[in-house]
Amino acid sequence: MEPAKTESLGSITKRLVRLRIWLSEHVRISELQATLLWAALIGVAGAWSSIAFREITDLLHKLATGSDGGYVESFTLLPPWRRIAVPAIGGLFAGLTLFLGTRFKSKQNSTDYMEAVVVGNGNLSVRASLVKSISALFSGATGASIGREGPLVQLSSLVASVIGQWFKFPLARRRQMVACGAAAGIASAYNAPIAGAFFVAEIVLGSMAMNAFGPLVIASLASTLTTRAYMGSEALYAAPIFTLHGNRDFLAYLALGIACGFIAPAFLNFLKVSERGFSKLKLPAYIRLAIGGAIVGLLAIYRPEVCGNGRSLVFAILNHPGTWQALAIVLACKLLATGATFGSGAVGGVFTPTLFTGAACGYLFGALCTFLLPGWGMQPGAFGLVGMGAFLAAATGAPVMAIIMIFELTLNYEILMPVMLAAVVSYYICRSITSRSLYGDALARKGQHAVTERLGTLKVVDLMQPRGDSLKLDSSFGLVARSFLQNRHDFLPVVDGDHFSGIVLLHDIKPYLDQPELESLLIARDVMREGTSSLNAKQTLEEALHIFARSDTERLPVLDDQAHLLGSLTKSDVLLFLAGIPKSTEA
Amino acid sequence: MPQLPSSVSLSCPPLLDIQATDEMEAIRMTAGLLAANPLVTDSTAFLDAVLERQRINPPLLGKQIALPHARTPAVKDMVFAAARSLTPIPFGEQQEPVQLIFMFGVPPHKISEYLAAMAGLVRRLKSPGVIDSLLSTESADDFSELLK
Repeated sequence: MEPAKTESLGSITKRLVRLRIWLSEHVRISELQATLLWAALIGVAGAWSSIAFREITDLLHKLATGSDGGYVESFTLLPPWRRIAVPAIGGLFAGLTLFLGTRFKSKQNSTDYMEAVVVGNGNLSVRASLVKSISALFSGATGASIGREGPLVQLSSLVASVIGQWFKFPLARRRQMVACGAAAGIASAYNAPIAGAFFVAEIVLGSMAMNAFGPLVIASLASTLTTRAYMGSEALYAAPIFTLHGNRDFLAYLALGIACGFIAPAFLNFLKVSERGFSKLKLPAYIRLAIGGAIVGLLAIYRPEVCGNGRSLVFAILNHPGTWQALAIVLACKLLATGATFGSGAVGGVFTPTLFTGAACGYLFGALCTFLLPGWGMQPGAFGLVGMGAFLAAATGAPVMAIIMIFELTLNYEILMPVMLAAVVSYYICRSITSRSLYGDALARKGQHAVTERLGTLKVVDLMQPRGDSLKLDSSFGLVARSFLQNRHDFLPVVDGDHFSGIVLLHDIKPYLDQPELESLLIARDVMREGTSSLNAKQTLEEALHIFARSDTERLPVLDDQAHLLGSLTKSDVLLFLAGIPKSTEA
Repeated sequence: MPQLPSSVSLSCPPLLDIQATDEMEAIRMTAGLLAANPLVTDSTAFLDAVLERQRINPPLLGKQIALPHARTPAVKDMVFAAARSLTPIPFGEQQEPVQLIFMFGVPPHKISEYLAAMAGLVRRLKSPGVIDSLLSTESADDFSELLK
């Protein structure tokens, strides 16, 4: 350390220090607020990764089918043999990608975005995530009956994870960033900013705590705005105006909710059975996915509507449904195609197929209602809309997200109350039959037990930021001031060798930073607070939270048993982490 | 002239024209002024704390002024003493000549008061003519008056 006398605080430095103090008092940016800024960045980056994936999928789709229309349209134009060949070859490539990619699979990093948020350290494997996304690209572009939200969320989460690792965020914030990436992916995929945030809060984090929810909202919003700037802002499923004819309509929607509550467990079970059936074949991934693709192709010869994620089918139900008999056939074929694709192990999501199933079931239920109660004046299409929400709530186990998602997909306010009723009823009935949900299965497979166990064992040391700037006992007052300028903490730890001695609070010294004479008179030890709160690296996060509650400070130093300074931990990180602990009984 | 904070008032009359041979002796003599002060609970520990702080980095303002100080539990509240040497005494590694010695003893928790007192005293000493007056005055009362 230079002798104090030689340190001099230049006038520019002093002004900067004063500006820094002014900012810290008037524009106070806490750790949590900084997280919001990162969330916005991740939202924009996630949206661009989603846009890129969609563009590449569309390009590949055009190459495979020779048409740049929708899936149903392009498969209708294909001769029968190509209807089989395209998805089968697509499945083969998708499977080969997975087969070859698993050889490079990292053992340390997670490849599942939900697992990464819930259990992992927020470090997604770049290579494994790309392998899954490329596989999803082949499946999606060649007509597999699977949703795109899986790879979109995966890629967006990956971007967030890379940013988190790049900037060396502490564990809790890395996890939060990945959650923001997932929210950005959903928001971008469905043009649904509110549902994007709720999807992750309800399904992935299992928490609506504001500490965790705020950044998700910002990421979702930034992602949606970016996507809209590129692709337009129309509702994904623009539907005819939904009208309520009276309160008695709610009786019919209540009945629909009950029906969906019973059908959803059967749908989940069907997906599970398909998966088990394929796994019993004990075939390599590329053969399994090729068979899955061929089954979709065979169904497409009869009904080309089965190809793709089902978006155009949902649109058709809401706008030009045709006869209920034809819809029932398409529903049966589409379910088989989804079972074949999902069961064969194709990478993707089942969100849109779930929406279709709900819409189709709702429509058919509505057709029955209008037949039985012709005087009520209800339209089957309205049941299709409400059915989507009810079915989604039950299948995903996230009724709040489902209600908001339906509103955002249709941008129709009138629909909210019927969907609220049907979604909640459907959710409770489904939960009373099975604790399984679409995404819960993924988490259970990844070891829910291990999740809970690991969370219980995490200590302060796992979440802390490694030691950054610190002062020595004999650091001059000038150096103390400059150190505060170089970082935005409100205190700096003082060490004697490696041993923690105390902290210098910005609050204590700020009125005297413009007095150059003090630089030669004072050292860090003179203005250091001793005996302040600190955390032990081995303490649990609950213990840490208690200490934070008593100390009334946002950040505390972390020490080992010998009082060596190891790093620091913020209250926000502990809260973010605790908010991210999943429910123990279900995902 | 800038006002001094109320905490900067001499805890005892200043000792003028001491004849110390070196830095340590000058500090001992100044600390000795506070030995009987009821706010100093352990005068030996207080002196040790000042000397220890002095070893780390002697606080010198220039213009023949030293401000030895210590934060120590050996004082119950802030204490302040002043001494003037007849001849310049070399202080620190640089052997800087010092004639005016202002000593603070501060309890560990009084960081803000400590900084306020130190900053206030420095501001007062920077006022035109104050140092010259402190060096030339014949009376302890006048010396004390210059620090009010």
